[in-house]
Amino acid sequence: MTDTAFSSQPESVNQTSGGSTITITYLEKPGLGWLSIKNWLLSIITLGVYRFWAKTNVRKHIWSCIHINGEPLEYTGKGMELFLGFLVIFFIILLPFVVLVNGMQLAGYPEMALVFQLFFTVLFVSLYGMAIYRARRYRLSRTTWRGIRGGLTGSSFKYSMLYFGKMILSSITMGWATPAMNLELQDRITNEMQFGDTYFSFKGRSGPLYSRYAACWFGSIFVYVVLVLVSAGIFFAIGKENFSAFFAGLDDALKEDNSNGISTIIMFVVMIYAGFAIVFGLFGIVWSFYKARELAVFASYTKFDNATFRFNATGWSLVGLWLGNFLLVLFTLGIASPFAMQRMVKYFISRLEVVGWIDVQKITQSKQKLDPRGEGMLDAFDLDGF
Amino acid sequence: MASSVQFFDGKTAAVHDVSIDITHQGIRIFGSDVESIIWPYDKLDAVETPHTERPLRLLNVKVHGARLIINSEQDKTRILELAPHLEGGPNLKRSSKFIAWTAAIIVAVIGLLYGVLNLAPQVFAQMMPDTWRETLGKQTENSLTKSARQCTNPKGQKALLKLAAKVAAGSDNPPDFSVRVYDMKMMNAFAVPGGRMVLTRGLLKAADTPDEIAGVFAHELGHVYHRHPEAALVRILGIQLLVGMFTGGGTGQTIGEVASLATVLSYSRDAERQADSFAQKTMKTAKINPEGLITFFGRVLKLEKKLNSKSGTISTMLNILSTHPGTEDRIKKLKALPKGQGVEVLTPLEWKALKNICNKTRKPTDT
Repeated sequence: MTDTAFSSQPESVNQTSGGSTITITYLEKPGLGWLSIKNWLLSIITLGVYRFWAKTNVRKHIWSCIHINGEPLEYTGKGMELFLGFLVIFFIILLPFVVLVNGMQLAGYPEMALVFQLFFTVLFVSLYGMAIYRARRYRLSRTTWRGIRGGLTGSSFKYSMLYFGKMILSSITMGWATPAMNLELQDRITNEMQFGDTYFSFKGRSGPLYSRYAACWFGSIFVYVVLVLVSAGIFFAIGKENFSAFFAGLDDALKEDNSNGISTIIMFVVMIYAGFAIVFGLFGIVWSFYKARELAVFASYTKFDNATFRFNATGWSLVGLWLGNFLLVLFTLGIASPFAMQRMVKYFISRLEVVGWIDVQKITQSKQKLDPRGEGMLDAFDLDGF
Repeated sequence: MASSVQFFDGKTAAVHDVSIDITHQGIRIFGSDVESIIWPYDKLDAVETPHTERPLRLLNVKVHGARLIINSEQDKTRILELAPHLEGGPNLKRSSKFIAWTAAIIVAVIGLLYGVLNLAPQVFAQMMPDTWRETLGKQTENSLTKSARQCTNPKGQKALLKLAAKVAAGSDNPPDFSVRVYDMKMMNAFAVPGGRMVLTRGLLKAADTPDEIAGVFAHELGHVYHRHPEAALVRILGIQLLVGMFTGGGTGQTIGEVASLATVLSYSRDAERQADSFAQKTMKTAKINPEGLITFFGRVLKLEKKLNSKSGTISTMLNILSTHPGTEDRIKKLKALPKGQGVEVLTPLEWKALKNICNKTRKPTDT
């Protein structure tokens, strides 16, 4: 045997329970750096069309580093599947949207154009959940361990309706419905998720989420008030005259024949971005503490066979994860985004613990049909976990 | 050897410890709980590129989900000798396939760009129904003239129509057009969809002779003739679609917008050249002296130089980006024309009336 870390061990079966314990490890492999550069270059040369194959390559690499009881995961998806999925969405949603809205405008029916715009916006928002669900299904069906693949067997439409309901309820209740609705969503998607033919299960109440949610909710109100006060303070410190003088200068800078205005414009743009970074950063930090709680609680509600999960997430560690990844991607102009993904996967694996035992021998292959199309819709919405 | 080979049958997640025989026909797999089977080499594939520090993971394309994991170095070497295609690496067939695909994608992208940026705008601009052009023209004209008033001195309008008719007579196939003067200080002339042309009071004020205005008008008529405004709108629509397609509507959006602006601008330069050559031909046939346009451009050039000396490189950069070809270039092209005896475009009285067209104004009406 060459290296025990890499080879699959027959489980030492626990005689009394009939199952075995599960350990998940991430063993880094060389080659991710070269892969990142190759993906970046080819994406540029093909004006972004290569991104589907790039995503696939990165997933193949990272999946193969995740070892469960010594045996790596395998990603069996293909770039072409993602590309086809994208084309389908492009031709049934994006193209009709742009053509209809602009066509109505061209033909002189701006009111109709507005109606279409509204219609497509509602369609987009209400199908958001469907996109999440289908992307998850695709990834699970393309992930195998010991030749057995995962699956998601429910209706993506029902999920998207629940998701739509969550968005509406959350906004009506100023966010207070979010923990309960997130739990409903997690409940649905987890109970419909399987490995082989065995379902995961999820059971629990949203009560334990609320103390942390309340703390973060009031915390973000506090941040909001502080931000308003600080902005007002800056405004008075600068003085009203200087303030309006700056905007007058900006007005001048935007005039065509003033070429010295460029530096003023650049300064203004940088200030806007810095402002956004501060605001989002602060709210992001506050809500990380809720997210950590939610991850831990949801993990403890999840069961597979005779095992439950423990997820040791903390607010600050999440802040570190997100901030680090943000800077990593920003300062490498996106070249290092595969490393950001690896960081995230490593974070989750290092803090995840499987408690109990699973009768691995009894898990049989999934009977789900394989959907040949990829995560098209997800790509159209441009959200990407991993 | 038995302990170093694991087999997953694709049916359950159980590990089977098996033995293998590496023969010339294939790999024979057998064990206490596995029926003896043979995996022929041509059906084998490696899950990941073979590596000395990692076990060799094999799959059989005919058996879904089944995997064979070889740990022993001797076995790995033997199998790779008998089935060299598992090595992957610099493989002629694979790399030529990759190059072919990349080339195909690049060709498709270039074709798409050409179609969307060049072909489709021209075709659609010609096909566009007149009612569409009309509504589009109205909207564009309103947005460009904002709240400015229309100049309606009847004598001036009569002179303007005469000048327009004289220029149009120089084209063997003049397009339908309408022309209006707006009470705006800036010096400008533009064509919008539907054959509509707009001149400003500033432009009339800056001109010394009717020939100058005739030249500018001939240029704008060139845009109308080639339906440039219509084509530009279709092009912007196409670019929006392309940007959405290539970036997936995400982070690339900003880069895409800059790229699309640059494209619109560079296409406008082509359009300006086309309009210039239309103006030259038309004025030649109509026997209108191009001298007027040359002096007019000369004046624009002086103005540009004055700006240049003030701001240097940035203005040069703006020039490169600007939609009009370099003024010096245009003067050169016009000088190449034979300076024949030109006709009188307007009588001095008519010219005075045109210059004073903004003595009477009214709110723009939907015409």
